[in-house]
Amino acid sequence: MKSLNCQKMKPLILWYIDQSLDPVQAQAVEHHLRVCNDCKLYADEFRTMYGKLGSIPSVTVSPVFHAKALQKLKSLPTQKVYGYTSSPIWNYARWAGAAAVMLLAIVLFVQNRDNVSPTKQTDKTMPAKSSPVNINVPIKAKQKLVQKQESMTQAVVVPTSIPKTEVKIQAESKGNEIDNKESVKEVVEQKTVVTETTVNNTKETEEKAVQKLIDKGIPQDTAQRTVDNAIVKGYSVNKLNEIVANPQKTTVRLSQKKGEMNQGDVFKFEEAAPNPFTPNGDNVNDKIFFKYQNPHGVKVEIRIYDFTDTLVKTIVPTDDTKPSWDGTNDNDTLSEGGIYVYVLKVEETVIKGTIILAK
Amino acid sequence: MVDTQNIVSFDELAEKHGNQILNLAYRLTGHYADAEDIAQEVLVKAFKNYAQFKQGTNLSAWLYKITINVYRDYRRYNTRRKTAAHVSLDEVNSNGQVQVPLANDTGNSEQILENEQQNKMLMQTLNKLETKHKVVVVLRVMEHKSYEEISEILGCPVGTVKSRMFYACETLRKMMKKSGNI
Repeated sequence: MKSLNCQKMKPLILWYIDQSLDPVQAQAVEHHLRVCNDCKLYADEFRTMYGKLGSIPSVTVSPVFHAKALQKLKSLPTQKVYGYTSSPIWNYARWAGAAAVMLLAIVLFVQNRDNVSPTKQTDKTMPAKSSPVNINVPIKAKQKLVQKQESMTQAVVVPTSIPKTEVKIQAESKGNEIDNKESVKEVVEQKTVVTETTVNNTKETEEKAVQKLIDKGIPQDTAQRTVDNAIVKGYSVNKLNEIVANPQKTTVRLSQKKGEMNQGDVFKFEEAAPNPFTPNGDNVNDKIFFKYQNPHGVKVEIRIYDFTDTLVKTIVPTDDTKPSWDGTNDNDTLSEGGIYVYVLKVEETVIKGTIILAK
Repeated sequence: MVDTQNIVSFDELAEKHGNQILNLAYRLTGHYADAEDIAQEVLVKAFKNYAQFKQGTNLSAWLYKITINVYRDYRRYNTRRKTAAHVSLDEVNSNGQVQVPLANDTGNSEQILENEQQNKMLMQTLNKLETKHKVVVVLRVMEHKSYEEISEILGCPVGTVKSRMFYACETLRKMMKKSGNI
């Protein structure tokens, strides 16, 4: 056996004195003890300690031991021996109590949840299905984008004044975000029985509505398109009358192109370009321009948010300048590269879209 | 309560194993009255749960296991009460209330007194060890159990037992050296 240093030898010395070493190891320890005085002293201390511990005398049971043990056996279930309770019945009771408390907590939680959920459901006037989106953006940003698109779709397409009508909305966004070629297709279906008379039923009503719109100064093709749109969407006669009475506010529809909306012919958003843009000072695509038609000069406000919903910049376009964003925040510091959301607010209408800032 | 196939008489259990259990409890506690209490409870528990004992296995090891579990409860209870297990070898005799019936009670009175004093010091030192270390020392040095038997009683590997043994002995050696006992 290789010679070991004294530190490693210590346990072996103990087990040598303990007589639990195999003969080869025992021989190696004996050899080491012959040459190392420190370890010999160490071993002697162990021997003395062993001797003393082993000298503690044995005891025998007292004459009353047996009788007392029998008495304890008869007084089962065993209760206080050292002053603590060891009854199994008490243990069961504690477990049962804990289980009851847990159960009560679960019941209260479920009841509470049930009370809250109907309120939430009534808030949602129209159920909307999630839209499958295939964009090359991070997952978090993608989810936010989808949520924003859904909320926009609900706000714009679905008129809240349609009573007793279920409208199913399916929005699909496909294509590449960078190329800005994706489109949103709105399919509005009337599913349940419509209790009110719809525009489809009367051609006269349709003609009258078109005529009324023309009378109010709306061009004929726009008036015809507005009424056709109402027919496609299955609007009621009352709703159509509302549109006719107030054409500028109510004839809002989502156009075929994503992010592009019309408010009659009053305001028309075209695009935000170039997207992506590169504000790096090379005079190439340094700004993103928001292009829209605003013949009546209604107030427009553009807000830029990052994907954590933090407001980055507020842009209020003036008549003589093209609204644009140069990638800076309100403190004129250049923002980090990434995905941003623009919110274009025109009176009560909100138009949203995404911007990619690349450096 | 007791399986008919595993019937054992309480008297038989107490007769055969009473002293063995009492000795282990006494060496663990250093207090005769507490050791008797522990031994009685061990016998009651063993009798009550005798059906759980696997026939053909080591009954002695099973009883040792129960004794150690009861001792753990006892020590925990005493620690909670802040009255650490008191060593009463000297105390009991000097008060004359309980005479500890020693198995090998021989020699003159002076020698006995000196031994008792020494034993008291030893038990006090031993009591400073953690339960898991103390149990190993008692089983190995005082009860002369092999490491394999200790491993079976404690339900842990032999290596763990040996490691605990070394740690406990090293701690004890240092404490005894410090107090001038070795």
